[in-house]
Amino acid sequence: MKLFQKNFLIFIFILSMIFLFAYFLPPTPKTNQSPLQVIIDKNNLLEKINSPRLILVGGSSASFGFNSELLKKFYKLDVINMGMHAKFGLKFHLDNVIRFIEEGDIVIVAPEYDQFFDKFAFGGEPLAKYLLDIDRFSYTDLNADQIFIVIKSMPKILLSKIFNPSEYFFKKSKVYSKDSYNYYGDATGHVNLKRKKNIAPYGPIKGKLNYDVFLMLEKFNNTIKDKGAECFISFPALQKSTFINQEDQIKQVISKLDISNLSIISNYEEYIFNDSLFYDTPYHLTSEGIKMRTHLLINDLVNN
Amino acid sequence: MLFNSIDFGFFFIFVFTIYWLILRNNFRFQNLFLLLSSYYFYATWDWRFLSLIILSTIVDFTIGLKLDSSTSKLYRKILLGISLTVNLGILILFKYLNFFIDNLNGLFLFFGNEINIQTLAVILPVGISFYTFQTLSYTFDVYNKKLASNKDFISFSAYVAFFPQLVAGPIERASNFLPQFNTKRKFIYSEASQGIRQILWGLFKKVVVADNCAIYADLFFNQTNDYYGSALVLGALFFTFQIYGDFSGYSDIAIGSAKLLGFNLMTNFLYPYFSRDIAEFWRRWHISLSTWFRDYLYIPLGGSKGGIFFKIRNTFIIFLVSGFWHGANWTFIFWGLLNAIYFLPLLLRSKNRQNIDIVAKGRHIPSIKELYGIFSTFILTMFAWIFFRSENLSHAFNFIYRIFAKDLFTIPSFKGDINAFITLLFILMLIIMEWIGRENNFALSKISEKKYIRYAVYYMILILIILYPGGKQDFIYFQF
Repeated sequence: MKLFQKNFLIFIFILSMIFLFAYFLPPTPKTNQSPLQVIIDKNNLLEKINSPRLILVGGSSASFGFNSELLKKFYKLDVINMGMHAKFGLKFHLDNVIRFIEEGDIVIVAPEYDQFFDKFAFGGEPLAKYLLDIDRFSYTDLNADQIFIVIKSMPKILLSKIFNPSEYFFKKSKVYSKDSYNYYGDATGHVNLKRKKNIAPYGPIKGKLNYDVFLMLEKFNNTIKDKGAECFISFPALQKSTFINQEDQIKQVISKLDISNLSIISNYEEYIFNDSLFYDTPYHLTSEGIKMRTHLLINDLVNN
Repeated sequence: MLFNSIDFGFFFIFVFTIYWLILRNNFRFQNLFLLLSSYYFYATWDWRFLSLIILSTIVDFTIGLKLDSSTSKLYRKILLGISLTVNLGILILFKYLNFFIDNLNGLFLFFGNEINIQTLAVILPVGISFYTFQTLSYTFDVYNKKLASNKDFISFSAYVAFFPQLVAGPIERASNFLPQFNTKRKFIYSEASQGIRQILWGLFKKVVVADNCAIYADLFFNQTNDYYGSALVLGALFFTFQIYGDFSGYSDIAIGSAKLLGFNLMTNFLYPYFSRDIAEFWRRWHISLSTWFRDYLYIPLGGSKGGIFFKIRNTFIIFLVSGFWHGANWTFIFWGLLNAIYFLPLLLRSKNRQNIDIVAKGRHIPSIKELYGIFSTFILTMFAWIFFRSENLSHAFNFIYRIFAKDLFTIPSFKGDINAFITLLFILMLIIMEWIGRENNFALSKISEKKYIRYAVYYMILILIILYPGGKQDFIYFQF
């Protein structure tokens, strides 16, 4: 048994040394080009621009879903699109923004519907990559689920830095790189590109409705109010054929939101768009779709 | 709790630590702890179905005791009948009843009568076919007086529910496995390190090969009508390696985990894709099931004794039942039928045992004849897997039709073809490693005498497992 323990520990020790070495390596060229880098720019905007501001919060459906310039023209407010990868999780989306909120700000939260189910709101590999490789120290408010995700993703992320050739030799994407965003944080790399044909719709959302997510939103809403700002809930634009697959789950979310204390300004049905308005996924809009969604939001804000 | 999940890793480390560091001096406590751990493991799938395992355990334990104490032939037969009724009754209720109802409804409709018997809203309990066959093996062995009944309820329950092989085998024979619960286990370094190697190899087969192959097998089987010719052949090839990597990978992890706990499970796969004929393939594929059917069905039916009619009848029975064991679908039955058709010529010419040893034993390269045998057997097997993977028979025939309709000799083009190429490299790596290790129980069993080479291989495999997982996929055989 002792020999077994000894050899096992040596094996683990060597592995840990490899991980440690990888941890201290600088981010790879691919990571440096990654859209995850844009979050730092977006946070800088939040820090730099004074209130009142219109802040858009959500997953990539927000970054691929708004024309901030149009919103700015209409409201005469500075707009910051904080949309980022949905797999950062809604908790991170909210926690990351809340520390910058000031009196007079208007915050629009439009989470993807998956965020309300299971543990999706606590993130996935992109969150771990961001925290391990891009911004290691500024975000410390992790809950147990997020810590678990970071630990679970850590081996792959760290070993990729040493052993994955595609981290060093890759073709820069026009759509998914840090340079594909405009000043406001909108994803614009795809607007002049042809949309992908036959975007496969998502199937039904897996898992059970997570009631903690609604509590999280309510807590966020209360903190915003305490700071003298306002928070409104809107909905992401969703591909019609995905909606058909997820209708039951989406209705569960809506009925739970309806009985919450949150200010819902949109009608989710208006945000179900034809498949032809999506660029490459059921949540990423084409430029035409972006215009439509932005106008819908303008109307919603005017009516509320 | 999947073997390829972090949860299982933590669970296993916990069980291993308590089992060897705290309970090592008392195997009865070890058995109790294994039983509780196994029930917890199963409950993470669905706690409600634990009741079925417990029911099956109680019935067979009691029947075993009664069989042992009885000399009356009739009474013993009645007891065996009760065990069969309860165990197979549960299996039929949960797995096959809806299939029978559907087909009965269909049959009546075919003749112009609508009877519309309602199907039951039941979920298939995970691993039901595996533990049912394992408990039945105990009753058969006691009935046939190959084994004395077990007097210790805890050790018997642990035998039925032993978590490493509870949900997908290997289906152990009571006479081999049960006695291991009734003796003190020793921690043997060489066995434990073999166990870890086997787990590592199993994880590679499952996570790197099977789960990556699954992406493309699913693509071509789910969207068959979008593809033709070589693309669909590639889909069948990916599924051929998916199912091998998935199931043999699971078996390796199960056997390796059991070794770490001081148990020896039977070998379940022995390089089946290096077989030179179908008979050899069936001696190397899912060995625990094939031998189960051989011992408890084929031989009682008369085996290969008797006239040609009996040989043919028994061969078809065994393959059809084996197909049906996999699932309540005509595709599995047809898959069994196809294998029976492949096997029959060998049996009738008494050539079904011509390839017993591993191919090219003591040599690096096979002969042309061996290579031809391997290749032709592989093609036949791959063809049969199309039926196994398809949703229904018409899907399977459509798949085959589209293979030959056009583009059979063109380079396939599809979304994600670069990653598919990488997956083909993983398959190639699997084949090379298995070819090198084919004279041992599993590929990594004896890779090198030199420690640094061994460690380099372990790290390389571990890195591949971490870097190239194919996305979380359940094990295919859990549905059986």
